[in-house]
Amino acid sequence: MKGNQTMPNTAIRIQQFTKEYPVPRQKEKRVAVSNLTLAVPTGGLFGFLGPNGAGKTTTIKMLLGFLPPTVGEAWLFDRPVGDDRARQRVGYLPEQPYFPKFLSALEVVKAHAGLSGLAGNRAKERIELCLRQVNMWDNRHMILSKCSKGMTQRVGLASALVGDPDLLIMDEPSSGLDPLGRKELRELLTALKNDGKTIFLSSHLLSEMESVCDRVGVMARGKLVACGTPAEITRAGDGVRVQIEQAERDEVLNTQIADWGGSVEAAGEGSAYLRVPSALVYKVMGLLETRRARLVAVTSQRETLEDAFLRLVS
Amino acid sequence: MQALRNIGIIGRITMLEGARKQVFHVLMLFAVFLIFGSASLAKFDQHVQMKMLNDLCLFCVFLVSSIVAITITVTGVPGEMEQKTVYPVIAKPVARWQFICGKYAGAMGTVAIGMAIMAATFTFLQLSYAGHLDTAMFYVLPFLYLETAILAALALWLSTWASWPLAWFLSVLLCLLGNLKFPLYDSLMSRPQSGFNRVAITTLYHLLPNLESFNFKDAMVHHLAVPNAYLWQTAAYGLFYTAALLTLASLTFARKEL
Repeated sequence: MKGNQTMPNTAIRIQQFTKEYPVPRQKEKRVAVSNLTLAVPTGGLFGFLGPNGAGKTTTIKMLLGFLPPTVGEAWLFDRPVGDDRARQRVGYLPEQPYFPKFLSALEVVKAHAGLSGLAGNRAKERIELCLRQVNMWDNRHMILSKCSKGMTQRVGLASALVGDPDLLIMDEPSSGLDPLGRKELRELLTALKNDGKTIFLSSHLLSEMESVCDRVGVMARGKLVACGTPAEITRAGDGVRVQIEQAERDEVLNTQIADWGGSVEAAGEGSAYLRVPSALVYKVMGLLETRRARLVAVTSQRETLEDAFLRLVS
Repeated sequence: MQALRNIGIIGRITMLEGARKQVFHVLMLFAVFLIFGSASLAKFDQHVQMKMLNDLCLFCVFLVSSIVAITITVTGVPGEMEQKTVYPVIAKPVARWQFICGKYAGAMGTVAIGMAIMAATFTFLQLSYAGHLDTAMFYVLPFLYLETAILAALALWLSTWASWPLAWFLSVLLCLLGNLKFPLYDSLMSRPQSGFNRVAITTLYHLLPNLESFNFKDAMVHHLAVPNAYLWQTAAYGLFYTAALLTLASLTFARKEL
């Protein structure tokens, strides 16, 4: 929050967003987004998930005023998206950020600082801070045509951050980044979240989203099919998975597990997974001790975000 | 104030990008080569030689400046959309009209750099051949720049609704028509025409930019005096026409789905 501006409770508010495209030589229109209503509270990281063609990018484009919705309205910090000032507190990182090829990283970030309304020492400080945050300070004079995809992505990130926005809208921010770059991005996102920023992030990398998102929305065929915290979206299983090691196959143990309503699944040489109701976990421990099987791990059988995503979009 | 800053920033990026492109360097080399070449063509007595030199050099300046102005503006906005470089800019609090004006300012900045290079070459040749500088250059070149400014605005407006090859073709066509509109109008109206045709021809005549009025090449070559009032009137016409085209381009781009 800057100066004495008051922060509304909702960073993004979308009401009945619908986008239809005419199909050549056909009466019917292609519906990219249908009747989408969504509210993203200020602060925290909101993951916007969906398969290709689900309408995520179209929604982002409508939010940023690139496309007018066929029906519906949206507000960024209570300002209608049609108002150019709505984007004053927004930073945007497109899926593959493209910049004029003959400019240097510094020239690009400097231009974006100016377009965000920064000038003088404040602009200089922010430019240096952001280029350092994305590890591009040492390469700031490099011409973008000579930069790798990952470096261009970092420049895009610095350009999105330079205006010190309260809301960051990111479309696949980790595309083009190597594993180290992804780890740094996760750390940066966590730091921004802890600073009170709102992050609206569209991604396919669900395992990464699960660890950083406070809330997620799942889009499928232009519709929002689920919205809530990852815990609300994933189904809690009522069982646990127990990984064990045993010298040889133990038919007594297997029969007992089956009697308790569980199952045994071999997992390579001398290793097996037991799936049992969670209420029986202590009984299973006792049985393992009796049968001299070594316990390796006990994990909850809760659905992962990826499982939930596949279930929701299928 | 921020609106002007935004235009300046977008203009600066566009100008830097335009001036660093290889095609611009090649065009400038071509122009300098052409201007020096025109000096070697003009091998007559000194008086005739200077006339030919001025004539050929100013034609070169106009030709290359027009090519640069049309090409940069006609590919500017469609190129930004095709390469998606428009998104990070428009995602900032930048109005669409500011983007259009910025792209235009940048293109005209690139044209100004090119014209300055050509003018410097032309000045060098004048000093080498005549031993003095023709002061008429100080109004002939700015009016050539104003002519390219109209062409660039026209190309920019066309590029907001037509594909860039079509916009380029139309820009070149309108450039030719704008330079030949007086003889064309006289020739068409001297023939028997239906009432509808006469109205259509007259409307087109008034809508087309009067590019010939910016050409003071003959005045410079033949040392003719041009009244100040006429210069001001022509400048005002050029600025008004450019502003009208930029307004049209902004309105068209504002409605465009990106």
